[in-house]
Amino acid sequence: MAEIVPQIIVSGLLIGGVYALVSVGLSLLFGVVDIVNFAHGEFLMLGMYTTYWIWVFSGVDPLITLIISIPVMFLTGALLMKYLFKRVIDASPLTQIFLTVGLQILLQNVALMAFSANYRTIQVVYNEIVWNIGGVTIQISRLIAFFIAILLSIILWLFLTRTDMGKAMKASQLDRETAKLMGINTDKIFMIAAGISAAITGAAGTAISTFFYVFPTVGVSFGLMAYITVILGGLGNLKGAFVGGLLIGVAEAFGVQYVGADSGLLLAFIIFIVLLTIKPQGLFSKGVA
Amino acid sequence: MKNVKTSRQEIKNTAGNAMILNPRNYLPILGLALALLVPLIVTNSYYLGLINLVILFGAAGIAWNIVGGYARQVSLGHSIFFGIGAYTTTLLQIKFNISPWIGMFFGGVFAVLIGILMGMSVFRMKGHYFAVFTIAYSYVMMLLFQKFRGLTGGAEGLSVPFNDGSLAMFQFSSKVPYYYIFLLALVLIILLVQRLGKSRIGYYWTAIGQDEQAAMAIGINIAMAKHLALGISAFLTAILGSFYAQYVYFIEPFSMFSTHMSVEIALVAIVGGLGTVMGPVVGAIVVKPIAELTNMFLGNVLPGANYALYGLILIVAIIVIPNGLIVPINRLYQKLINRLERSSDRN
Amino acid sequence: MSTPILSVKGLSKHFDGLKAVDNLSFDVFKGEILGVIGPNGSGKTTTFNCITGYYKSTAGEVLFDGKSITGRTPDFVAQQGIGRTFQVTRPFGDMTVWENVTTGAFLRTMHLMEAKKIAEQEVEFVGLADKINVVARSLSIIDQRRLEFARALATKPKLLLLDEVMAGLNAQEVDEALKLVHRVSAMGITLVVVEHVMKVITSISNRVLVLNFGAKLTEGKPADVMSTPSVIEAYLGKGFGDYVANC
Repeated sequence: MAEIVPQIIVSGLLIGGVYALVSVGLSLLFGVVDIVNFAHGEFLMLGMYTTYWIWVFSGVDPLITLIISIPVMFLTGALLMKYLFKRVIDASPLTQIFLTVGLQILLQNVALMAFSANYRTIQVVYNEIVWNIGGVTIQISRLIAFFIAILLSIILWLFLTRTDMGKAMKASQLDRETAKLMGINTDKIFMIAAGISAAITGAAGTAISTFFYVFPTVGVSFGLMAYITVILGGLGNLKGAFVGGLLIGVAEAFGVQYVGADSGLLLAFIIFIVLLTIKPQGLFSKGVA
Repeated sequence: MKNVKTSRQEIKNTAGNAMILNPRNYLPILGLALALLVPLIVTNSYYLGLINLVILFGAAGIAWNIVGGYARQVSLGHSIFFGIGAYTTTLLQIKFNISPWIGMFFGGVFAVLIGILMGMSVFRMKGHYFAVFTIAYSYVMMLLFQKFRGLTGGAEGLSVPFNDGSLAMFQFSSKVPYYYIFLLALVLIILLVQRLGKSRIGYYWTAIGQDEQAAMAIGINIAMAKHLALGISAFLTAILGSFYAQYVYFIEPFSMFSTHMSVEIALVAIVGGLGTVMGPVVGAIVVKPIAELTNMFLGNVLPGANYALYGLILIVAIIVIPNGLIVPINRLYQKLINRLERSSDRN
Repeated sequence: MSTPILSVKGLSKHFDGLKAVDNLSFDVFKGEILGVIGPNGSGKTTTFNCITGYYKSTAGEVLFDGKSITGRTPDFVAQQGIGRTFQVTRPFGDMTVWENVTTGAFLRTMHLMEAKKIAEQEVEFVGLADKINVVARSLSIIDQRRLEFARALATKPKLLLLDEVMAGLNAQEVDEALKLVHRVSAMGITLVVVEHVMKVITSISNRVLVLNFGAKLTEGKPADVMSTPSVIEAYLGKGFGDYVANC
């Protein structure tokens, strides 16, 4: 029984890396713009379809499609900010929630109308390759997805800490009014933040497209996972979101192993509900009223 | 919002004797009388079925509004209560041959218990948290109902057992009895929520929805008030959920516990008017036919068109008419009343 | 003036090492108007928030009418009979003036008609009668303060905590507000009034409590307190501008 624990943890961490990236994307948007985007999972779905169709028509490796899907998704996010999210930045949570829920339903069903409900798969040569390291098997495509997620997270972190634009973004995360007084163009910052949020989440979609079905509602569970992770990590806390993503991945893997193949999510969600009931401020924030 | 002027006039009316001659009193009765005639006018079964759904979702929207509109706790998980109601009555019927009329109350109580459980973990938090939590809960419900197939029938769903159609078992071959039962439920829920809105708890809910800090300062127990809102809302929604199961004869966890279902319920309240009694009815009259007709004409060619439309309506409504369609309609209604009052004064 | 209605004993509130309130003790006696002054950041509002349960105090005890209300929730404190207003006004924005105050009145009655009657009286009392059906959101800040005052009064408090209700008022408005406070006091309600403006405090209070850096600097009769060197120093040191402008 115990000898499969390392296997579970490794599998959990691999997919957890992807959850972490998706969660960081959501947390970034929340932190900088102060908006919870309920259509976040749909960025992942759009990223997957972008990759899928480029692969269908050109046959290039899905990873190469990142060159196109990242700018496309960045633009999608930035335009959504400019024409939609910006209208509700100062509105009540209720307004924000329903605007983005409306967007979620719209995107899902437009995808359904355009691409049908078919489950699509991308075939690559390394799909079936599995490494065995000390009794732990690692599917190569999942390992690649994990590395993409980690790489993009590091790039984002460098951007936020090393560039003027990134620092400005952190400043407006701390205090929107002060940022404005400091002469920071918040409109531009918001568009870039939304662009990055969509781009990295779309990239997460690309990363998993080699071993995950592509279908219109694929983003739902990822989106839900991300909200949960972000709340667990403390809203707007990027590090918390990242660690939370990894943990949720591991929790899911344990669920699959010990509760049932269909119960990974179930266990992860129940753990989340119990944790937050005990510690409502999230795991990584101090209890501030 | 409650209109203080109206209540002043109410005082005047109760003092006067000409209650039935006042348009404020006879117009709703006239409206109800007209509603009773609908099945005589609409003989097409498809359209009557559509009207039945309008009534059912209008009523569910009112129930949602207690939590979402008055207390402004955005629930995206009302499908849980709807689904619990539907499953409880259906299962009690299948396993123990218990009539839905009795089973629905078990469903209601069950929904209240789940509401309390949800409330315990989320009511200390605000804004987005509650919404996320309700989604997570509905997901958990969906997965649990799929998993424990021995009890719930699993992902394949359940059919309501057929018995020749009787009032005792809440089963009819024609859509007309359903119409009257749904209408009765709607009227009762309207009366209940109207009463609640004019009571202490109704004022407290609205206050909480506006500013929790200020509400505490005047002695309002926030958690208690929210629990009460969610409890009442959950109970009513569960009853309507069991109606739904008896009406469509088939339920399965994926759609019963979906966020789509929750959004459908909330949507009618938003389009019609948050925190108003009649808003959701107006919302249902506008939204449901559009979506159902889209589904009828485009359902086969373009599956998803009706839901895409839901999404679009939601986005447009929240930006363009944040106070709901009830505002202009109320204004017209007020004008009508004034005109009728003036003409009766002249007589 | 013998029995304290409110006793604060050794109250402390620390935020991440910052001592916003530090071992503060004072009594409020039945029927008096206690003025609380101090420079910005001296802990006046924090003290209010600790008494009314909005903050959990780090240490100390609060007794109201002889009963401990330490660590109780704001709604419990309000139910016991402590009303408050907020420094930054918090009306129920979408509700009318009447509905706002009616909500407050519901603390003491279950019946709508009765609550409305109480509310109508309080609204009249604070001078908002002509705006009774106006939506609170559209009121001026001064009228929003009046509204909060009426809403708190409608809960029939024994003790009322007013947090800078006169900030930003002109001379005539200050006079009106002072009259209002005196009338409330005449009704037998004990008042604790936080103000930044010294002149207001001296003309209104029976006693004055001076805070500095979260601790009690001194307390006593207004005239005595104002001539205390340490008080002048505290104000000269931190709030010199205010002091000069308002003397």
